[in-house]
Amino acid sequence: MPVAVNLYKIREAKDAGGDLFRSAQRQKDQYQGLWIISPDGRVLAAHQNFKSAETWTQEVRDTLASGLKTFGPVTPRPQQAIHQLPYRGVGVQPNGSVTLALYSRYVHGGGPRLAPAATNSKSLWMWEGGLKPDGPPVIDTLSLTAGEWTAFAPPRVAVGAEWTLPAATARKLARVLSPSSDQSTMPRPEEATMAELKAVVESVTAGQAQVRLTGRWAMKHIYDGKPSYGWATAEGIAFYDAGRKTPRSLLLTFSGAYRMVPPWDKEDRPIGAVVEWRAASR
Amino acid sequence: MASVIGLGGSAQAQTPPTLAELTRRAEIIKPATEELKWQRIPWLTDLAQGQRVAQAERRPILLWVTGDDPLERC
Repeated sequence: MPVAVNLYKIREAKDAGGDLFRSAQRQKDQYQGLWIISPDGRVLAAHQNFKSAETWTQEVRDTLASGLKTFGPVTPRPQQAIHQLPYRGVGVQPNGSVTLALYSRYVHGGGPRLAPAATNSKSLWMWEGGLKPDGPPVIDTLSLTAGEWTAFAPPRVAVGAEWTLPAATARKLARVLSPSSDQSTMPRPEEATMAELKAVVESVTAGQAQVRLTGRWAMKHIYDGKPSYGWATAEGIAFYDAGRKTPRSLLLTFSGAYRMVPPWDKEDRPIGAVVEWRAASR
Repeated sequence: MASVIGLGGSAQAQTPPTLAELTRRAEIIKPATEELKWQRIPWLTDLAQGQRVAQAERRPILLWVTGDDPLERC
């Protein structure tokens, strides 16, 4: 029975789940990771620190096999995956809020023009060549209240109408500047040293406004007394339905750089990020 | 700090990307299909519920704990 939980929440939980987790940690003391637990609460196997990236997958498989062997025969359990976040990147919730889908990752290439101006020339080689992923992606979500979402509507549905979205909303997007989804690296909105998102209506066709988005962000995140930095510019397009008075879609792509605290990063590394949303289809 | 983001100005001086170009760029950054296999697993996010189901079905619990929300909500 697969269960995925947040360490900071489960260790404080006052319910049976919290009790089970604390019991599991007492039996196999590890900060986080995997535990195979019998229904009556016995830890059968566990895994946290992997030996190497090359052996990690096999280590997890071995842990699962060991736990199952100790438990005994189990019949396969055919199941369809549960869609945990049905509003992620799509639709408007009954209370008017929306959940944007966010992605971020290290990339390589894309062209030197995407490198921040302060990038050391010796690091520019990381921006050469075609854009390609350079490591696993961050998959994230960002909820906007109904009030925050109204800021994405143009003040006038007319070519040339332009506006700047509230700084507080732009600051929320600063989290994409971290290509790691760990709380030790992700900037909080107040850690954005720059956050600016601008919009202008480019065209209006059959009551649909095409909106050009541009933005720039910078952040300095402190963890354990050490700073990490991120910078990015963003380009995007959104569509707004003048008749329904509602956005129809949003796509914003970020190009920038990230530098984790030493000794992890000694120089800026290219990152790419995406923020997207679309109206629910009828 | 503005000079650090100065490249954004030069990017905007060029022709703005089309929706197709933005979409292509986004597809490179977004997870590839093979990077989303873990989403096929029917994860629960309530450990107490998971224990009840495990007891009813007489199978062990696979508990995955991280310092964030493992299933996207950070």
